[in-house]
Amino acid sequence: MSDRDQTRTLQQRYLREFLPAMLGYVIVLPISITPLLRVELSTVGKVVVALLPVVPMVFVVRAMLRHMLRQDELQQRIELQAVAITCAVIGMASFSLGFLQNVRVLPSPPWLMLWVLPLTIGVYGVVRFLLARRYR
Amino acid sequence: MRRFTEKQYQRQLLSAMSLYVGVMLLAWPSVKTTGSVPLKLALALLPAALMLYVIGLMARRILHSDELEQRTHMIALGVASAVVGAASLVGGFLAAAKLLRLDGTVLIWVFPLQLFAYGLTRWLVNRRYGHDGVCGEGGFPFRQRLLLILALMAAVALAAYWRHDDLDFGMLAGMGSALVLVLAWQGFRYWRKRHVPSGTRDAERTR
Repeated sequence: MSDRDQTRTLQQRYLREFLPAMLGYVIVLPISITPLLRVELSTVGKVVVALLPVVPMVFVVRAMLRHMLRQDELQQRIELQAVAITCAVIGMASFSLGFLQNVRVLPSPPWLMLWVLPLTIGVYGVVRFLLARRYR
Repeated sequence: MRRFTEKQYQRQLLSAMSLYVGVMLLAWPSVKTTGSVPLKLALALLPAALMLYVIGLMARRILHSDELEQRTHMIALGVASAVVGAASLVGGFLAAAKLLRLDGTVLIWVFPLQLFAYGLTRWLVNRRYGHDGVCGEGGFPFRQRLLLILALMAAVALAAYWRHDDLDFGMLAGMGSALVLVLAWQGFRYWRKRHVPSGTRDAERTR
């Protein structure tokens, strides 16, 4: 099997795990938010409904980690650099923002935390694309 | 490329962390009292600058590691990102449902949680690959590092006690007690290693 075929097979396996999980997240998210905003629920009910979107997200993360570990050395090096840069960017940005909000230089809305994971995935995607292009 | 040893990394990391605690104890209290916005901005971003230095150190460490170590770094960083992402998602949804009272300042904890999850995962993965990671890896002994961390925590706890900040004091006292237990366990292991012959330990393990 050539390198190209191998990469394609790995990519297909990744998408087979990633896409259903992401689709699950996209479906569960509005299902979870709607009752929280419109229906009066008990505390336990609120906790259960609020945590529902986390279940598909666990599968998204699992798919990403499994994909990283299946790859060859060069790809793993790219992944390592991408994950490290993402961690650094997200860590630094949240740390600086948190301090600036603490001294009330910036507003601190409660929903801000919800952006950490989407931003992590976004930054990782962009960095990985740029690194892969550099090694091509 | 010049070699960057584990000892150099740990020495620089511990110095940066000590400086960070110093800044938080001495400079941070004046942030909330000062009226000047530029000064406020500078003081608020000073801890972030120190953390940037720590990230630089970690990057150097990863770049100077061999293939197996790079694999463990990758797994640890991946797990750390996953843990932080999932935790922030849970926290965010609970805050949106008004079940938790969290505001945006909780973002300060993202980076420390990342570091903690990374450290713990790397230790576990290293153990799986057959070496402890606790016994120094050519750096300072784990007990010495733990003692320094305990001393720093004690300094912060003392400052929290003087400020009558019960939440911080309680949290630090709890974390400090857990570290004392880990230190006692390490001390016991060290004592056992020195006083019990290795043959006896092997026989006990196989029994």
